[in-house]
Amino acid sequence: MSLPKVNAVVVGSGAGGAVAAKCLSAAGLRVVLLERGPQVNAGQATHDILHSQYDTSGELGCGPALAANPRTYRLTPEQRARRIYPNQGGYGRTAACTGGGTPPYGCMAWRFAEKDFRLKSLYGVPAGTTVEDWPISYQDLEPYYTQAEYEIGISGRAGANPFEAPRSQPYPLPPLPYDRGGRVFARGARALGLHPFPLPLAILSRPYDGRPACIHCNACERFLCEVNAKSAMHATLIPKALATGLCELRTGCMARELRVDARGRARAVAYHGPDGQLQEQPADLVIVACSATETCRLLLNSKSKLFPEGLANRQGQVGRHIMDHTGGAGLPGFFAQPIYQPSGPGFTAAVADFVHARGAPLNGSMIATMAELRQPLAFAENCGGRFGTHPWGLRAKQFVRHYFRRTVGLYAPGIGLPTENNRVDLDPEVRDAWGIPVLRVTHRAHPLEVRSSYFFRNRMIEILRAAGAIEALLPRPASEAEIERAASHIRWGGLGEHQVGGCRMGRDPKTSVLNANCQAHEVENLFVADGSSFPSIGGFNPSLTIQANAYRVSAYIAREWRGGAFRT
Amino acid sequence: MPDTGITRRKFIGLLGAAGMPRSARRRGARAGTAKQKAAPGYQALTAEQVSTLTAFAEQMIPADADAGAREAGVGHYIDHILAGAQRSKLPRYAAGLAALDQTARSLHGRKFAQCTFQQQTALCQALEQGRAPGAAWRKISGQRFFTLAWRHVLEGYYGAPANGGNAGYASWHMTGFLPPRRRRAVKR
Repeated sequence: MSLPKVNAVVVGSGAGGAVAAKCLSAAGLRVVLLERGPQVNAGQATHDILHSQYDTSGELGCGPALAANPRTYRLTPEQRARRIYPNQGGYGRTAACTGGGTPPYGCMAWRFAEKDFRLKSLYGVPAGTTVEDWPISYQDLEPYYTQAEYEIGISGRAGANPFEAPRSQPYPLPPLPYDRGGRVFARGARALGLHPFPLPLAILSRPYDGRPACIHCNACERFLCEVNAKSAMHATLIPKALATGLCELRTGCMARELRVDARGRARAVAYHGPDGQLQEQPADLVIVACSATETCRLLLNSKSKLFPEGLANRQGQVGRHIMDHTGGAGLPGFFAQPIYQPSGPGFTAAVADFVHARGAPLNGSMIATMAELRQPLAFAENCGGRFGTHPWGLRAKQFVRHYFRRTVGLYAPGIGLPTENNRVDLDPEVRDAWGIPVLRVTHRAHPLEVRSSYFFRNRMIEILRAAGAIEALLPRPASEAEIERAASHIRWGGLGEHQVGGCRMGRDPKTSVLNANCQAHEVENLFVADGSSFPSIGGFNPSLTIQANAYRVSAYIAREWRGGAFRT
Repeated sequence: MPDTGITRRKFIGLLGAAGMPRSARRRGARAGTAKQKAAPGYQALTAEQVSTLTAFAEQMIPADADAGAREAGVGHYIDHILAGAQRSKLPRYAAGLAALDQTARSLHGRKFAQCTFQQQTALCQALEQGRAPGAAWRKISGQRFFTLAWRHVLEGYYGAPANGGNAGYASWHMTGFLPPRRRRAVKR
């Protein structure tokens, strides 16, 4: 069934799609915003980890539904891919609900470093990788970072991070104060001559834009916020888009394919409505923002006579150069004194001294405190076991009882690189509950990512030791020989929630899917507004950069929009 | 999903008509209810399965000054999910628990729950390391069953009481996850 034509369809209501829907409807375009998941709101918030976005054995609080959304995964192209589900490692999930990944996310709101946009120029192309520069610079994105910080509501202190790229405006809100874990971390970092600072967070430290300040409840990362102090898209930009009167949100709608006209322009989005029926929504423009993995899947599934290998994929670039923070590392430090306090968000401090500096592989990354181990279940699963075995028995119980309150967890996203073999494509056999071919993820960590992981593990050991963590419970720093061995036998990989790339933006249509405005080289009225356009990932959580880039792309579309068909 | 009036779970059910979820559900339901009767107070597990499972759970989290897995109601949590959202895993439990009993019988002449605590510990270690003896483990990997059940025990013990386990918020008071219980009346 074909529906009345609109100006633009935005597929996906997450960090990128919500920005596009808000900007385009504010600019006067009639917009339909499609979201595969259900509507979520603060009233559905829970403090129950078993119904949150943590990987438990059951369904994820914000989706996607496990059985309905399989994928397949393999380490290398030679292997046979095995079926995996969204609560398993390597799948590369983002939440499926209004706001995409943002309702349960941890809210870190980083700007990338200036050098993150010029990786190839600065470091060359390491063997086996496809590292590339961005076609835009940090300066091109800066005004949109500022716009995102103000419209979305970010708390932080300008200049607190001495390594931060130049900014035109301070943050709209002061930072959240350090909690005890943050103070312990900052003490250790300062003792080593590092420069700790309060994390930039998409969590309101003061009332802002009609929403209340954080109430410091104990269920933040991987939980819905019960008061909408988290600046997630379902609480911020989606209501603003709807308030224009020009944007219609349709939830429970799973996009199946994009359809083209005789001239190869995007004509309509075919999607399954909540009742499973296939609908067709025609539009002048299509903006895809389904997350790096799902955007690639939608384009690859959009096969036609003019695009037999998928839309905008004549050069076979869709699904390539996809990456995540595979070099990530997390480490707990156990202390003699109690540190835990039952108040959130549980992550408040960071250092950025190792970003593009101090011997870190390539771009390096920040190091921050994390909330993961502040849940008894997560703590019991991850701590207290000898290496290679599950924590169980009386000793494990005693460890959990004593150290749950005496722990500071640190996390570094590490580096992530696009490589020649890593990609997503369509699995030849497996289909999802809608009968749509699912993604086959081929991903193995690059040796430099493994080095990054050990490098940051060693730095975290130093910081925790300087902060006074119990020496006997800290792992021994890895030696160069151990790192070398690990980097030569890599058996791990897989995508996570920071997935970016897959529809790279660039100047050369042979090696990129999108131009610098994130417009498909091959399809003039097709844009991509999520992280799949990123040529590199940086050493930071990517959501604010996805949002800033979506503001930039939307500003371009609004500027060039002439009514009716889109011209370049 | 307020705009359509369909809850997420129902939505998944609707989609299931087209694909995998339903077949998995039917398989689980048959294995659980057709032949054997659930133990009193339980929905999916038989009395025999409950006794083996709670003995295993007590090995994972034994009682000391704080409640162990049995007292905290972990068996009820696992029964609850096997009767509901995770019913597709019931056949794996049926096979795993039967194999555990069979191995205990061949080694010690008794069911797992009737073995001494030390015998049970040794058997759990063997299971975790994939070296539990017995033909029964040819049907189901001992290591995989251990990981599955271990994870469920932790969920039941450390998760919210609303899910059936962690009776009396035992683990949350034990860890200090909850603010300490107020001991004295407020001073005037």
